[in-house]
Amino acid sequence: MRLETPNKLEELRKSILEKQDPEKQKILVCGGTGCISNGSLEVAKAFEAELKSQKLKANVEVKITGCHGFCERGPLVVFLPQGIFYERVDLKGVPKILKETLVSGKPHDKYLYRMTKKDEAITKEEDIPFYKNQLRWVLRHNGKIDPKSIDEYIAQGGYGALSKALNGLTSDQIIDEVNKAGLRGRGGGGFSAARKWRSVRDADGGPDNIRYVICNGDEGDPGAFMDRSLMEGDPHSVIEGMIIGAYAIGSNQGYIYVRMEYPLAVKHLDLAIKSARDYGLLGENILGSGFSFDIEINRGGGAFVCGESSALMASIMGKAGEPRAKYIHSSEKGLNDLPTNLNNVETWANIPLIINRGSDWFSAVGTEKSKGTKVFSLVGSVNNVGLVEVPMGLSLRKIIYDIGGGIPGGRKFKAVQTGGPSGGCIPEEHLDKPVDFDELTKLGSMMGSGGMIVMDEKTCMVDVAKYFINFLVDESCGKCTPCREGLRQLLVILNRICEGNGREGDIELLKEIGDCMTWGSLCALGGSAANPVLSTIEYFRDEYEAHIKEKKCPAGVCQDLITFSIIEDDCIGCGRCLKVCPSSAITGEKKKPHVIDEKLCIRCRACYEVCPTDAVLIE
Amino acid sequence: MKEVVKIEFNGEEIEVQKGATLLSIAREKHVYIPTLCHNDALEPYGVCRMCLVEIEDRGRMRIVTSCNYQAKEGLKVKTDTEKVVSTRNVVIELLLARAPENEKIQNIAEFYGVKGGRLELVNDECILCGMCVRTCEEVVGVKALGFANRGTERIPATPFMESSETCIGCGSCVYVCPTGYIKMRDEGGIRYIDNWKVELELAKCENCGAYIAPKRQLDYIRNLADLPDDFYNLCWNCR
Repeated sequence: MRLETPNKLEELRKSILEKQDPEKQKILVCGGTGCISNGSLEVAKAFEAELKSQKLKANVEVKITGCHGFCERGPLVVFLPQGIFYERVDLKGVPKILKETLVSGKPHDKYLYRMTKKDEAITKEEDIPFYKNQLRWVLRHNGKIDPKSIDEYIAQGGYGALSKALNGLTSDQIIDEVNKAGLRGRGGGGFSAARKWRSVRDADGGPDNIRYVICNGDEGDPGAFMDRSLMEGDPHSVIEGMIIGAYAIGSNQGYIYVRMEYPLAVKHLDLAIKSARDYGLLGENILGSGFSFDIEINRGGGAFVCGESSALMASIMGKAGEPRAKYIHSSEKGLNDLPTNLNNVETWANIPLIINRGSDWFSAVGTEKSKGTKVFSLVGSVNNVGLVEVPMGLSLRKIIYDIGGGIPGGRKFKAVQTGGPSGGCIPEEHLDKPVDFDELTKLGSMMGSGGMIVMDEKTCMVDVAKYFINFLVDESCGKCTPCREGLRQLLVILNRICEGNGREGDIELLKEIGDCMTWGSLCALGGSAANPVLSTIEYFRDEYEAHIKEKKCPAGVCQDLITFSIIEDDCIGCGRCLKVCPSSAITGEKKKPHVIDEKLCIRCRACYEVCPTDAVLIE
Repeated sequence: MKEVVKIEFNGEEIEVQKGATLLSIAREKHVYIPTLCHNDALEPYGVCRMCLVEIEDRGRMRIVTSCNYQAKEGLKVKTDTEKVVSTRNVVIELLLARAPENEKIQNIAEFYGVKGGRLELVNDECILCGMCVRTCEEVVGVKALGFANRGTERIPATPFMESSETCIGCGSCVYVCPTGYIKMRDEGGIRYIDNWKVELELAKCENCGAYIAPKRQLDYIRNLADLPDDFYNLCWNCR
């Protein structure tokens, strides 16, 4: 069915809403990748089967939604209209949850959220600290609607912004609105979206007046899954944003570049594009406006560097994914040497919001130069791992402690790395700084696409720098000297420091190479690749010095610099360490203190992990 | 006529053509800027990062490669600032560690007083300037070469590292290679380019019997220029 006019869209919306019963009993099962791998699809099936056997099927709808964000506690299930939030739902719990919630009318206590086992249960999603302190604008539909259904998106007001834009707003008005909203690119650069749009619109589109818009969904940072969850959970908001952008820019062809490793995102986007085409929201003469636009999906092969815009465009063109020097901007000569506007998934998903609610509403949230919200994937040593969306300017402390629930096991916070592998590590002293584009850059890190990795006192910062440099050595395209050779040499030096062979002057050498990469590299990957090293040297120099001068790893991580022993007074002689030791380095009689033979010890940490009394000492 | 713009070059205000590369301007002003991946016959590539200069554009300072950065109104260019020197010196040091035996890099290092010894030696003759790949594509038009692998594993190569079926054995890649990494030899009527696993039969002069060039290369040129089949039957001396 093609929607020929804006009115037809409104009529459709009305008829969908009329058919919906807000009081109808719904069971929302999270279908994000995290919950799926925890078995959420089986749980959904079990709910269906159980409803049948309890003869409740007719009045209850089981819906698989996009990611709810609280991946740590998956599979997540929400009962509507009650608003009851269940966590870690397994097959065993399904019958009991159904019976208590629907028949007895009270929540089943066992699967309710508790911060720790000792805490009081919290029934409703909105009361859980993880959700309570968020501002979910971009993720507004995630976990609420079925991403496979365009009708559900339309019922939420979807494509209303597009309709508004096509019928009454000029290109200038749209760009002005985005400009006044102060939207900056969510992919990491933080460049003004409106400025980019305007320069692409005003650029020479050649004899056929061609311009392209691209959605960058090549999210490659380890531990980051913001864009994946959006593409999986609310693909239409991204598509609607792209159509509005294309209209403002004067483009008729768009591309979404998604990683191959995101099959569910590809599937949902593909389905969304097809259903948008069926309604005439993509294709020729959209909503009778005379404007035509279509989108193609390009699947990336998994190279990290293809997230860099010029490499991404090369990849779409079928060339090797390598960046080029961008002294001539993509806004003038991008894809096929024609003006090209590339924005990140999250940037596009913000557009319908801005057009619908207006720039004043949008810019009321955030800091002076960073407006709106930002989605982060909060991972690492933090209690509540998951996807969080917060207003720009919230402090790191609030994100990590109020939303993230702090560090597990009562350990001390050490650093948080923002911005993916080429981000920097920020120490405790800066935890109260507001999170926005400019503050993070000032701290030697960056917003990046929104990865946030929390590290505790058991993390060795030299080892962290080594880990990320190791990742980047593999992922650098190898085209320019500073990035390719610089990363190689950084890794050599970091390896020897961690092995106890660090030399006097190594810290300065690391800094010199890092500076050369920062200033002299061809693209932003190389330009930021040294950040993990430079920022850890800046904030944790004493750890480097301990490795080099004292040949010690203060955090007890670097294998060559630590020894294991058993504290005699604390050992209860339970024999667990003796059993797990793979090199038979531990001896001792039952109920008497055990001993580790340092010569046989391979420093695998197995004894440390199993000891019930923390009697294993790492020095 | 091309548009003229005013720029500041090492403190001196000059007029240049808009779009001229900073490297070409420096050469006109007789200012030496070292290059390794630049060749006037090729499109600027900007990867060796040897030709760095400092620019100020609308108040923003940056380090850019002069080989592909184009002049525009109001641009301020400095070729020897502290930042340029320190960045370039590390680039030289990195390349010296990669190809310590390379005379060209040794000379540049000596010129700028850069000493080796701090970094792990890689001992790879190829410095990945891409001159071979780009010449084969842009000048010869054969496109027999590309790059394989990523990061530190990157190498110039034929597709799938197999013996090239398109290479005409012209030797342009050997000629442009600044380090002697690509090796070519003619033996017993065969031209060998070992890097590309190429063995091509050489054509003989019908008059004196001297070898002229690989048959495939002569075919390629005859085809390209629409020449008669017997056009290259004689060597240069017997023509």
